[in-house]
Amino acid sequence: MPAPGNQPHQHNPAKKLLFRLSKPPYGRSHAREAIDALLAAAAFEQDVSVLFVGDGLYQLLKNQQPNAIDQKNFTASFGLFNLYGISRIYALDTDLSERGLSAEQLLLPVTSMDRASLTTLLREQDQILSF
Amino acid sequence: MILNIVNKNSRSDCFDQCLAQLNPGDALLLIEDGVLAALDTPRNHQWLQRCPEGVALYALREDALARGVEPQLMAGFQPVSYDEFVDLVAQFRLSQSWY
Repeated sequence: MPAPGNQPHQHNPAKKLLFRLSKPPYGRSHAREAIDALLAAAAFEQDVSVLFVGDGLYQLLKNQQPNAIDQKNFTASFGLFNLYGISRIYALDTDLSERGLSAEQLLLPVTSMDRASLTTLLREQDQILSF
Repeated sequence: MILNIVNKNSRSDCFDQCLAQLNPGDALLLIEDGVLAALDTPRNHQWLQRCPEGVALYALREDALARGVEPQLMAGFQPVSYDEFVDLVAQFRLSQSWY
């Protein structure tokens, strides 16, 4: 390994990373930690996509008041997505409809897709990270 | 093609989600409590009917041994060691964990 500092900075090509968020908020720490991880990846100029799966979609609901259970509102971090250039946000159409969720109920603009499109999206990735 | 690694029994959201996302050419590797979904039981034959053809089925042998269920694995399941687990991860370009 060459000593860092003496070499010109090398840009590795960005990896396509898909963060798969499948847990509802607050019951466990997965949701909060996923946001930390994907923001870090975006800060290092990785090509980040975010997929909300199943009950993970409940992370996106407006009007969360976690102070009622003495927890922080981690959804404030969603406001950073734009700043970090994270615009590819996906969900399965069936996951949305099974939960009666529509776009205007969600904190982020989500691209709804069918199962076949999701398969294509997954296969395009370099890595899939599950939270 | 994706190696799907599941650590929960078949009666779980993540198992259902994984099953719905499997495609021919993918592999399913059951680890930890997931090995219970590989046992030869009527309930497990039910989920197996929803599994597409052409999905390779594996169960982590150590986890099956630990639970005393290694002899009861379904015929379609190949037991794999930890070393073979590593080989599978290397063999597939993509892995996806379900938990």
